[in-house]
Amino acid sequence: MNRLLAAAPALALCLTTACASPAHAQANNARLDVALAQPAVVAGQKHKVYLKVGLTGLALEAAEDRAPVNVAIVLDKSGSMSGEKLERAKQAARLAVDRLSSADIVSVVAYDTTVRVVVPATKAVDKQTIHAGIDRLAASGNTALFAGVSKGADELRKFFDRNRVNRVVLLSDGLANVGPSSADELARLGHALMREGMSVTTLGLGLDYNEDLMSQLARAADGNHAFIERAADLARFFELEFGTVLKVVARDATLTIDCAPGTRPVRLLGREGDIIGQQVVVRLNQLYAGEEKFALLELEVTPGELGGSRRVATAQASYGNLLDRRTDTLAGAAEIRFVATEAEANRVVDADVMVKAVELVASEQSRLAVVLNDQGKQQQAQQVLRDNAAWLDQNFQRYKAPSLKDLSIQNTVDSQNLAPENYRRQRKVMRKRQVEVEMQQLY
Amino acid sequence: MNPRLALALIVLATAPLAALAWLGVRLAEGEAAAVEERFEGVITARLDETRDTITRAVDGLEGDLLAATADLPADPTAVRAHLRDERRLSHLLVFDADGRLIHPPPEGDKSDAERALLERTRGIWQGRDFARAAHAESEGPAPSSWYIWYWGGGLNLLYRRALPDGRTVAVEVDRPRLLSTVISALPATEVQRAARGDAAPDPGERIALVDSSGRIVYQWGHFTPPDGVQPRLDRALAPPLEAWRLTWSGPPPPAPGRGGLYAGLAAVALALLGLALWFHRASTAELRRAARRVSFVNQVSHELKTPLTNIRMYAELLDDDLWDADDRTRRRLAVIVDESRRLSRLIANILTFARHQRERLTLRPTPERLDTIVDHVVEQFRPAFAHKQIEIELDLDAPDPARLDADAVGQILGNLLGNIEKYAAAGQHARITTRRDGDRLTLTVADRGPGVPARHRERIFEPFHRISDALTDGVAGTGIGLGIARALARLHGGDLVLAPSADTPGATFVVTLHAAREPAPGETP
Repeated sequence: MNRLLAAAPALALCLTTACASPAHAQANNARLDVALAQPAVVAGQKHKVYLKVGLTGLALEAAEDRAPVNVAIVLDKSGSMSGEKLERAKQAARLAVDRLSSADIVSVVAYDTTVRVVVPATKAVDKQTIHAGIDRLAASGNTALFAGVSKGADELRKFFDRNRVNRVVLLSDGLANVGPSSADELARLGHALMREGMSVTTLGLGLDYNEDLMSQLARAADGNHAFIERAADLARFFELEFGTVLKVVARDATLTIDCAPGTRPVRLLGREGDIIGQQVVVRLNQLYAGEEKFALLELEVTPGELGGSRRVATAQASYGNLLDRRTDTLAGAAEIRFVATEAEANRVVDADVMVKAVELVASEQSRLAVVLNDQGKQQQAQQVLRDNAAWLDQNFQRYKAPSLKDLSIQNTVDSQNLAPENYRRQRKVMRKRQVEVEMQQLY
Repeated sequence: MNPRLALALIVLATAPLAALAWLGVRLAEGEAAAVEERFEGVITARLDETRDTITRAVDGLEGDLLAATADLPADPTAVRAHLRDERRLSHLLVFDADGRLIHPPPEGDKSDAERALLERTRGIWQGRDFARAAHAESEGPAPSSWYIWYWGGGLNLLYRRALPDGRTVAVEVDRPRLLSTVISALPATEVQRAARGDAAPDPGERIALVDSSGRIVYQWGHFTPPDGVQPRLDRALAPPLEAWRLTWSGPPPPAPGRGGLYAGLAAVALALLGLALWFHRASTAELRRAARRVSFVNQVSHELKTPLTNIRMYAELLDDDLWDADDRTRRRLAVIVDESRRLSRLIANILTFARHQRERLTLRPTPERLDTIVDHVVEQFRPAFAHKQIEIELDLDAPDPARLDADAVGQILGNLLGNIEKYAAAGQHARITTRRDGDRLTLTVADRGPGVPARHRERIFEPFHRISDALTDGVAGTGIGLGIARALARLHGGDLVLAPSADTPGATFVVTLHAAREPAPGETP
């Protein structure tokens, strides 16, 4: 978070080109930043550049100003949760409920082979009753994860309001084995729920859950994803999760990027979106106070004349402001200059955008390593990760961003834990980090 | 107890009971079948209700899609913007009035998602039948329809409608979204709040929604079906989801209480047993009264036996002493001797009967000549027979000694002659025959009295049975004489039977005795 805030003034410095359209625009509670990693390139050549279009929620003036939330806590109470895990989960859920205020709505759904609505959606007023409902849970049975999430979403629908933060917080420690159980099916469910205006956070507990399913569900529904190795940490993660829920300031953000002639959108890094011709559309389910969520686009720029400059893209953002309940629209644009030498171009590189681009490219390599290691190509996977670590370290040397150093070290650790006995855990660590980087997750 | 009577009583008690039990079980089976039928009716109704819930959810979805496609922009690029804002729609195919696909544009820029949609729905949009069919439908009552196609391992739904401007629109309903919509409409497993231990947990039921590949997609209810047990009932959903089924599992219906049936049968059995016992007691009351009488008389007889023996002995001595007394005195003395002998026989009978009842009747056989015994007994009866003018005819041919109990044989003959004196005096004739055939001695006593009616031929040997008719009324008798005689004959390895009545009047009793030939004391064989 500090990293992002610190980047903001630097960003303003980078976009010094005198141009009519503002590089960043600000409305009530979000700021749109449009910036190229390489604001200047050598003239006369074709270039690949990275464009970042980010929306930052503005800090709340007072905590009481926050948007009301509508949250469904969906707990796995299958047989594998029995004992400490379920007790810790109950305790964590109770603590999370305690953080809510009387304007908030909470429901608790528990699932094993079937689903039980333990606490139907209710205002978080009578917390004793809610606690009592949570305390009654006892573990047994299988894992009907799809049905659990569906019923949790149904509880959200009861008091559904676009101006609330509508979120399912799913905790599971096992493989879904009743009803639809593939990562793809759960991702499609997550996508449908996101379309409805809900987000799904997935908390994976222990080493037995399906990290592909849990991470894809969270990604598709634009929630958070976490790997919680020990049950003792559950309370902390619920705390983190509810911390983000209570920081949401905007919803349903749509970033529309129109590429100018001479610029071709190649691909999106990290996030998914639609690229249709010259237009790129990316959706963000929610914005958090003081946090930036962005789309990072790889562009191909045709050769330009020395000394000239050209607009590469205009961006538009629209979102629902949860505080004043209006729809805000922001606009921005980015231009590129064509200079004589590489050195000249390098001097003006936007380190912040570049670091984000490096992180996302490194995440793609990390995903590749998982694919390779899943196929049994451990040597190749290891090489990919080592190269990734070295490349991250080079970029750290160049841009001095501590996050790159961290990632470099973590990739090295990943490369050393690809053997079957460690991979089960390491794969969860990697999936969690991939989602964290790609979705700009807060924890 | 008479075994035939016992058998009759058992039949009397068990036959109605068996009939009742059979009827009751049949009735209970019918009841169980009826309960089963009602039970399945209730489940079927519940499944139908659930099916209707799903139908309504799908109808709701259809309504949403109808509204969401109502104002679809004509401009293909504006369609994308519409899709972005309209949250109920995701993937959409649009056809022009000629049935040609116009969105996503087959030629031209597409997003990855649009390309994937075109790829998986190629079979649908390549021809023009799909849009034509939609137009044909739009003439009908329903403005839209569901189109089903199988892709990606399961059933997929396309919502299809013809727009007024001639275009046709098809909305792909993502399977997980459809499922989630259906699951939202269905109940969850109820939370049992009153689970405090004192109340038995409800065994509940389990209803499951099964998709076209037989996979359970959602289920609820407290019942956990045992592994490998098929659901009890099964119901297909309404179109468009007719390939999906609802199944019901649960414990069998509570069996109609057989307790009532068993209690009823037990009560009837008790009543019948009581009735049988009552009949039994009623039928044997007479016997028991007589037995009590015998028991009393038996005790008295013991007391009487010794003085009577003395009276008889001294009367006989006196008879010897007064050999020269006048006729009157000797006649009177003869009456005393006669009557005391009769009394002795009576007492002997009673004591023998009592021993027989206690199964302690034994013999003390000694070498005796049957003819001698017969002579002796006949001598004793002569005065009485003479008095009643009964002529005695003897035809004795068993002079050899044999092992016999002389007292027992005397008692047998005495009882037979006593009966003649009492009941057959009118015949005025008694014929006694003895024969020997190897070890077998036969003693026949025939009279010319009224005889024994056929229905009493066997029963006269039962104790206390007396032929009740004009003949026996007013004649004193204990009703034990023939029974004892037969018992004593059988102890001798023989029998006492009433010979089949020939044309001759009267009764003929045949005594057979099994006795080895034996030299008399002091005689050489």
